[in-house]
Amino acid sequence: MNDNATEIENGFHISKLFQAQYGLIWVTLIMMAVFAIASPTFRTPGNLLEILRQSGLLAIMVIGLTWIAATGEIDVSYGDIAAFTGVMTAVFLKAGLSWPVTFVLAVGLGSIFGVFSGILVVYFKFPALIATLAVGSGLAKSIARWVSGGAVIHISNPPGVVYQIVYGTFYGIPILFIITLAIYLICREFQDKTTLGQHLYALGENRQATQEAGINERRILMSLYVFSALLASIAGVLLTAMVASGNPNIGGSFFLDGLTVVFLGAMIIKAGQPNVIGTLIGVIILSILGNGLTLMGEYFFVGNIVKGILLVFGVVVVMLARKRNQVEGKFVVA
Amino acid sequence: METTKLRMQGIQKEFAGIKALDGVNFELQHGEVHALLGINGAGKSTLIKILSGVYKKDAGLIQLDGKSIEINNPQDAINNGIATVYQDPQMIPSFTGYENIYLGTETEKKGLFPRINKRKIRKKAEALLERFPVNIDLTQPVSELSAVEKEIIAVLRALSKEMTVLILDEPTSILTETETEVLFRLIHVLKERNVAIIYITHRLEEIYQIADRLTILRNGNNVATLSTNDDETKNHLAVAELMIGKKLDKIYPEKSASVGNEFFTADNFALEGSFQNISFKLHRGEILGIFGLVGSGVEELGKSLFGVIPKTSGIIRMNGEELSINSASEAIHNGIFLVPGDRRHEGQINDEPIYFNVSLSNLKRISDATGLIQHKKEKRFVQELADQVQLAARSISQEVSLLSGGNQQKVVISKGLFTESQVYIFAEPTVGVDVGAKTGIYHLIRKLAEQGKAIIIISSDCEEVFGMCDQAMVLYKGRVTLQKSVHECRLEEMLLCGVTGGKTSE
Amino acid sequence: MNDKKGMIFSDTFKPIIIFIMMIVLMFILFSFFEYDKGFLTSRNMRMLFTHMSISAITALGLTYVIAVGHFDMSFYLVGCLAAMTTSYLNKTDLMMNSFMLGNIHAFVIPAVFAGIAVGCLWGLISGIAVGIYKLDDMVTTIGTGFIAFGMAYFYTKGSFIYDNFLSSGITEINDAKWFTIPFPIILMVGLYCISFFILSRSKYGRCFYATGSNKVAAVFSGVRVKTYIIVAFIICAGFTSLAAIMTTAAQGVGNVKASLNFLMPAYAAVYIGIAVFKKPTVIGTFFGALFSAIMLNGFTLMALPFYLGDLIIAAAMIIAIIASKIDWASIKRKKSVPAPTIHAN
Repeated sequence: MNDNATEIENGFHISKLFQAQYGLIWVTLIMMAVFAIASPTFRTPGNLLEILRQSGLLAIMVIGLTWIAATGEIDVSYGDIAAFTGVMTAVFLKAGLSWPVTFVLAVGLGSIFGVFSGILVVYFKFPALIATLAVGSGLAKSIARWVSGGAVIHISNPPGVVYQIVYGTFYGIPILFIITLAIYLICREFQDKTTLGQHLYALGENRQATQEAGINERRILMSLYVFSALLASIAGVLLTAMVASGNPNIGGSFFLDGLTVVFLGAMIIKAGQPNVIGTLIGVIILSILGNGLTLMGEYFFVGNIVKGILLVFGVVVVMLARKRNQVEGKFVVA
Repeated sequence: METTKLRMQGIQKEFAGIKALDGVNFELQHGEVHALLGINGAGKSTLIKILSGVYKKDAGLIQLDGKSIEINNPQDAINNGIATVYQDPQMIPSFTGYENIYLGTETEKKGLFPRINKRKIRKKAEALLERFPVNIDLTQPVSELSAVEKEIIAVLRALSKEMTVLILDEPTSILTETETEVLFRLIHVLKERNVAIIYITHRLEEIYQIADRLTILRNGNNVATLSTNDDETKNHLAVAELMIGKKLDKIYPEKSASVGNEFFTADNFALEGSFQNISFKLHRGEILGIFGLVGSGVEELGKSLFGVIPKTSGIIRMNGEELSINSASEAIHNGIFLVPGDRRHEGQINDEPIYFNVSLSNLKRISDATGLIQHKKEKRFVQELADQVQLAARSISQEVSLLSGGNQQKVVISKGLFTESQVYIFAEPTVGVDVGAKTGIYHLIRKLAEQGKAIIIISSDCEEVFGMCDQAMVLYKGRVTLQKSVHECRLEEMLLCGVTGGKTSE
Repeated sequence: MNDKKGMIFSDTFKPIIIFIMMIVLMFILFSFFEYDKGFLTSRNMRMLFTHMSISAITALGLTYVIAVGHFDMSFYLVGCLAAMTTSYLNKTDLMMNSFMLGNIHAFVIPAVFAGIAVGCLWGLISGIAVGIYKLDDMVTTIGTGFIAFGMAYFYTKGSFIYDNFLSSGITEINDAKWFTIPFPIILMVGLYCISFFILSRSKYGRCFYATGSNKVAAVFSGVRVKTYIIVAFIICAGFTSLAAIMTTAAQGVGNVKASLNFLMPAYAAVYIGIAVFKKPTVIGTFFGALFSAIMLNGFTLMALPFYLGDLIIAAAMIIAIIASKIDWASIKRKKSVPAPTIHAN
């Protein structure tokens, strides 16, 4: 009785997804074409590699967000945690600590914010938005400003090894990108081949079934929030190495980008669910966009509009995919 | 060797002074399919929940393989090899069949987040299928599967945990004929593998296809335990009589002696996928009772009439004028109100006081031109209604969540009364309400009819519909299987039309 | 029915009493410790409440959205668009050529309304996306918000607008005084009074809360749920736009980043209110905003750097919410849980 109606519905939704995926590829190609024509600098191989290099930073920052979004929660603190860690890095370096020690300390401190967010969300049942908003925008950013006196802390150029990591190339490919790729491949293993990945997606799709299966959702969520802060912190350290300064206010610039790439990535692979490889591809697309826009000079702010549209587009597709999975034949009243 | 797999003896269970089970016995043999029958409130669901650890028995004995066991929580049940599969089992839609089967048990390894090997899991699933052969593709994502395939996966999930007693709670209520066949094939396989099954259903004709024995409960007591091979059991009418009992308790008010004009009619009302060809002519002062079980379409019928879900075709008329109802607010505006069946989710706003809930449906009655709420007026109206329905609450400022089931239902009914509608549709008016409060609600409904309203009662409780209505209608899988004046039919007949679509014997 | 009324009375008033006590306490503390810094002077009070009015009005708008059970992440960005719209209109010749109304050019009024209207338009878009198309509220509003923010740059490619600010009189929004009370405070009090009427005393408020509490039950009760969601988003965007324009007027320059830091303080005010009053209310939000404002003012007088303000507010919100949750568990309200029902079977 029900089958025909839902089949058509399913068919419609599935084809929409395909269109979205291909549409995205078309959009990207057109975008690249436009930029290539508009600016000769864009066409150079050096520029294209630069795009890859810059992708690395954002990509590392939002792996945690990808998985948190997959469970149906949210995390808006990654940008500010990265900024905080960046500031602490600068502070420690100026105090004379070595890079390795600084790295460990700064990342450790940054991760504590993740513990805090996790506790608020999991044990005190805060709405995820409120908890991460308070922890990121409220606590992390303010402490970062406090430590730095509100200003940017400049440091001397990083030593050889560190410089190589952020600016060096290996047979022409930026080392930072290679590192990013490595991290992503490792995470992909976690996502597809361990209980963490399996259960977090289960949690996102059907919380009740996951609870009934006896899966410890608290452990998963807590781990994800800490993990997210950890990676955002690493990104923060790399950022400071890249620009030789710690900036407590930089968090805001990553906010929109982070969410956009996660939802774009959800469109691409795994049919509507956030996933790491999708996010990586999303970052590359966004970097192309960003790179091209910088070359467009004064109209840089169009980027916000384009990203906003992409984000909404991504949300629509994810929602359609989720609807497809709903119980067929059930009529939703509200 | 002990031939009895499971024995439950003298099981007692009381809820707030009401005996749900009064010394019930139940016995399950190895490899047997034993059906559990009974109408609403008979105690089937309570018995099963005790077995699966959701409730704790007050008294009685449970023996498994001859040994006494205690089941205090769901984990105990699982540890004892007892698994339950409910209707519409919860799944992870994008996961494949085998991933759903082994959700939570993907690996034996310990550690924070151990590795899982999907190929190994698939092999385990294939091995499971060899032990319990059924035609199903476990590599498909579950969202692509049909309802019966989802149930099969739920069953396989239980089997993967080495369960030896399987409880199936109304498995076929959402299945088509062919799908039911598929499920039965699996059940036969399970029998061969010595899994004992308790099968709860309303559908008499299925019992003969699948069960070895059946036990009938009524009002928390055993009525009979019969073998499906006996000839006398094959007479559905006789079985229905056993389920209902001969006398009808005097809890229903007198029916109406006469009715007014034709007031509310439906012509070929249909919603694709749920129900079709619903037509009726309802008069003022008359109660139309519609009986149907889960999956019969009655639930959707009520909501569709109220405009909360759409319709595919059909015309509704009030006083001869055609109505176009696309939303609840339009329905209320036209003088129709639905008291919903699931009051927790559909009827009441839990954190708000009684007066908030009651006045919500017709706020303009208690507000002035600017929209300001005239609280004194509101309190007066709500208090009047509370007295009218005999609401037992400390004050009308109390939060609805603190009230008992019966009183919560009265609040929702009051909300309906507050709209001063002409047509009232009651969906499952007494679910979760104790007997004392039930009578009160029935009298309320009849009084409404006497005031000249047109009433529709939609319920999965056959007795209730039979006791209350003037016109009777029965739905089975979306179609009308009985429609006549209640004086012209028998309760057993109604029950049969709702559980078998009209077949009176095997 | 009336015998236990006394208990219910104190139940509802207890949180208010606690909160009033806390605020009084803060007043006393600050007055005492900063007697020489002038906490309790009328000048400081005026400054306190004037600054408060901007975040308070924003938080008030957000209250509507939380009341219908949703989140909005666009308002603080939409405010920027509104502020720039008004600033842009402010610098046109139309402005300077319009007649005078007291201290201001008449065109200020339509310019301000235009800015608010643009903001409301964005609220409409967000409301439709969330209410009718049922998109995820958080992420979708982030998207729509940034689209608005990007559009705010179009006016002057992101640079400040200084023209005509002093001459048009738009700064009067911030500087004017009615009966010695600064205009922003009048606006704040006015909007709060109207909102109190709407949310807490009118039938519309009932519908807002019903939608947020149990959308399905609200639908079954005949509440036009979609309409209320859309209206809530429009109000939120509109109020924030007004607040952003007020900030712009106060600073005397059209700044594309005008309302960027409105986000967290708004949520803090609303959620502190929820922590005290158990649901998003006008009074609760007022107290939350007041609480934040007093703390900020006190700390500013102590010459603490401005960015610590966010830290304090965030910490206050977290503590308030945690405190409210702990109270629930320990008091263990005797919820007479209806006996497990004998389900229709």
